[in-house]
Amino acid sequence: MEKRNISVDISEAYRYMGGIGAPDGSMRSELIGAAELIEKSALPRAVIKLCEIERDDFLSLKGTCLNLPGTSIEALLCDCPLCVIFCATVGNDIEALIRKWQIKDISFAAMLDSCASSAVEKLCDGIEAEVKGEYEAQGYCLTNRFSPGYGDLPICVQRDFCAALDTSRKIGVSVSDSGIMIPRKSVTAIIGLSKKPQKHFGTDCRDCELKGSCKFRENGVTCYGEII
Amino acid sequence: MGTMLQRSGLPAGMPPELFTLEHPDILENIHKSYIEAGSQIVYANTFGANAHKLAGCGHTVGEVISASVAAAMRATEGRVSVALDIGPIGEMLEPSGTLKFESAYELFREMLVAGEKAGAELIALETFTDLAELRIAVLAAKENTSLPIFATMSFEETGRTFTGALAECFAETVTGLGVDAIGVNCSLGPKHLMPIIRRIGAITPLPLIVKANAGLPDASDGHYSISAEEFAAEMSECAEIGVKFIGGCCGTDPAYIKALCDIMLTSKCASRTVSEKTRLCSITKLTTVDEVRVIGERINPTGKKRFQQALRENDFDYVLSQGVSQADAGADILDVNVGVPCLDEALLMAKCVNGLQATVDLPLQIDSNAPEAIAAGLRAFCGKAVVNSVNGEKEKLDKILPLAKKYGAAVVGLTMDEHGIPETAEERFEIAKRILSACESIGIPKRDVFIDCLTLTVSASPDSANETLKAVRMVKEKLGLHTVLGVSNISFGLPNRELINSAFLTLAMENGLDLPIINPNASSMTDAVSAFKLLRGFDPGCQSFVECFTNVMSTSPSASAAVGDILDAVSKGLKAEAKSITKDLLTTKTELEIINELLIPALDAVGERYERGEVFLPQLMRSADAACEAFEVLKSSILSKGGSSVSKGKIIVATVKGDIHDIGKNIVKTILANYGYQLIDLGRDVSPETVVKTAIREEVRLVGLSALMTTTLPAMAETVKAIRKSGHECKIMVGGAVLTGEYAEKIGADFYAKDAKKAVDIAKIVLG
Repeated sequence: MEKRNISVDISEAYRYMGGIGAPDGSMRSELIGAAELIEKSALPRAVIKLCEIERDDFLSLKGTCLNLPGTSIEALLCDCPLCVIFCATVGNDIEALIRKWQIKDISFAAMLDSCASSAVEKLCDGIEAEVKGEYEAQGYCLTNRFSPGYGDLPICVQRDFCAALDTSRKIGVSVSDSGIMIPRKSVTAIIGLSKKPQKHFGTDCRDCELKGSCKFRENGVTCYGEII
Repeated sequence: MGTMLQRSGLPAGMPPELFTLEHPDILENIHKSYIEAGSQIVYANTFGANAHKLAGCGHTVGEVISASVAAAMRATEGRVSVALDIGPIGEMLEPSGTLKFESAYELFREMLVAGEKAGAELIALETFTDLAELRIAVLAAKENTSLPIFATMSFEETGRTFTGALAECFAETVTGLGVDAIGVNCSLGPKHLMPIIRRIGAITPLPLIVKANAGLPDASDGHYSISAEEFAAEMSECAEIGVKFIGGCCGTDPAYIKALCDIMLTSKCASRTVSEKTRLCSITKLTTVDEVRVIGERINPTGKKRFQQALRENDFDYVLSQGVSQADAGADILDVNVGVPCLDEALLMAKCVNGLQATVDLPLQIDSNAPEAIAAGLRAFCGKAVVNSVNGEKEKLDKILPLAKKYGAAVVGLTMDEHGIPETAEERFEIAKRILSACESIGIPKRDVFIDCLTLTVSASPDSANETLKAVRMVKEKLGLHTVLGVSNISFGLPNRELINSAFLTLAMENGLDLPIINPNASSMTDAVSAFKLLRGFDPGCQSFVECFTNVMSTSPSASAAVGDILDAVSKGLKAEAKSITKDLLTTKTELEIINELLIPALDAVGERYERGEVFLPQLMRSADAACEAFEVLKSSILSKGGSSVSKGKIIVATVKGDIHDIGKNIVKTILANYGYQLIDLGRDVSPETVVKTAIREEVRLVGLSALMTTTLPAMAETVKAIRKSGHECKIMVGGAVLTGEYAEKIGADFYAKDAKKAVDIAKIVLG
């Protein structure tokens, strides 16, 4: 498990806070300050595993107790004999930092929180690129990155993702009784590997479970920054 | 064990502890192979046999543990010792997670009692990454068994665990609890663990343990990198360091133990020397008392109406803000006193200690006259604390010293007794001697005894400063103890108190004061400490001094105070301006006039711009912050005139059970508070019963619930149901990222607050 670098996308963090467009002068400089603090306090870690996919009534991963129910994941992985699963986190120190700032300055704490969300997203982008580089070289085509909670893949499979990756021991990520990953700024995801070209659905709201109640869409944007 | 179980056919996903029930013979043989390889202690297959991990498996903790210990005992036939192996529970404790101290304690207690009953000869607590969790396991072991305790944690190469615990803090804290051996296991191979065990060995006199992995695992196939011979060769450094207990963790098998035994037979375990310094710590920070260290005095309600009100109203944010500001101002240790008449001091103490250790990383000084409050504070604090205080009275010593000993805390002794404070330095010195001897007789080491020679008011008795200073010098020089002194009492009744305080502080430090209790936010005091350290050679190259006086830290951007109106300050989110303008306004207007005529309209104006989409949530929050500063000025002003607090009605806010997301709830809280409502913040992971009880007790008419995850929405529904069932008449508003208006309606809430602005509109409807 090597050390990874992270960077925060200021515009993304601003969007997570409910801002629209680009942050202006003082807001922007505060966000840059928050991003720097997050980059300094983050302890990015990840655990990645290659698995064989088994198909029965639903998909499961060989040698683990991870089952992947739902039609969305089935559609995603329909051509894939293999997949890569991973869990990434920006660590526990950020939690203490955010708690402290909630006492000092709640707005700045919210900026830190959004910057931390962006940081873990960027960490995942980096891992995805790494996986892509490694497996494309071996002639595989990759599907989109897919996480529990997308489409109809229930968020509660996160627990088995973490068990399959032994995240508690390897990178210090555990899952609470109510299915929340701790540290909070952690992500699990799966990427399918196929010998056939994969259709990329792009970043799109169509498959999202939250599209009916999305706070971003209500404000006229998507969570990935497109104006609707 | 794990390696061997996998080789013996442990199915994926099956808890290893259950394997014993199905194949006790395999377990017995694994243990035998280790004993043949030379093991002198074998760990029973009980690592994760806690009720949390075994839930739903159909077997009790007692069954699994007694079968596993029995299998080990059959293998050993009394030749070597059997340890009850206990690992982390698998759920994170508060504040990172939702597991409570008491629940964790109970899970460990159950395992420990079963293990001792089954015949285990020692307890091995291992692979912990959260020091607070390990500490609970140690307390449970000490309080429920009489077995020896081994305690090891898993560190990264930096010497910190995943949760941030520092190796030195682990050593200091767990040594203080009175375990029998400590050290490291898992996470790294021998080579990388050696620097860490050296760091631990520099702190603790206890025997050391190293149980290393077989190097690092290969990312693709999980195989570990070093052979048995390489492992043994790398482990041989343990002898030189003076490690008493060695062994293997992940990736090792009996061949590794055999190689280890072969190589160790010829080496001699070196003796160790441990530094005798006084150390205090939190989970993440070690403070060595080898120069003047500042104890912040501000967390104390005595004579402070605003602080007393905060404690009465359970407004812990105010208390915590006092901790954060002192930490930022350079305090090394925080004194915590929450004694207010008619309040449950022990309960408040535990809450404050928990809040503080989640927010600041400083060691705490638990300050109370009540032994129950001291016990509660010490039990809650993870680290090495200070107890403030005992004195020469036998009753005090008898009650409080055992608490300090049990939790490994240092202790402050006041040089007074049942006859009061002696006038002369010599008499005070005699009491100090008595206190030291009482401490030593109970096993509190001399380095952990601090003496407070007591500052009296100089205007009342002119020679008192001299006597105090003389006593400080005597205690320091003749007894070799660290000294504590509350400084500001000296100037009571005099003009220009700050001048007298800082001059007395400098005199006291020159006479041997190590631990001044002061207000670190008063720059004249901290400046005196900085100057003293520089002049007395504690600041090599004058580095700290130069840094302190050339670098003005500005982490929170706030504009400089300038003239302008409050509307402008609030709408632009200028905190410093809002504060100073409010102070000016108080000369011409009453507090309520300012709130109703200026602050609320200013906030409404921003709220309207937000609704029109001219500003967004970040800007709305900034405005709320600025208004909050103004509000704090007004609250203090009202209290100083003897008025009661501003309240347009009480509102409960809480994040529901199982959910730990609280920023959204806290934003709503801040904004509602600005409108003059009294907020009762129950925090996060709040049970329905707590919400119901509080709503009834405080006669609350509006309850706000927050949930951020689809998985915690059912807890929100349950809470709404519980409130309705109780018959308490109140309105309920709900909010949170995944919530919708329809869902709010479906679960029977009265309002859906899609954002903070909407929450204000709802509060206005319900409470006016």
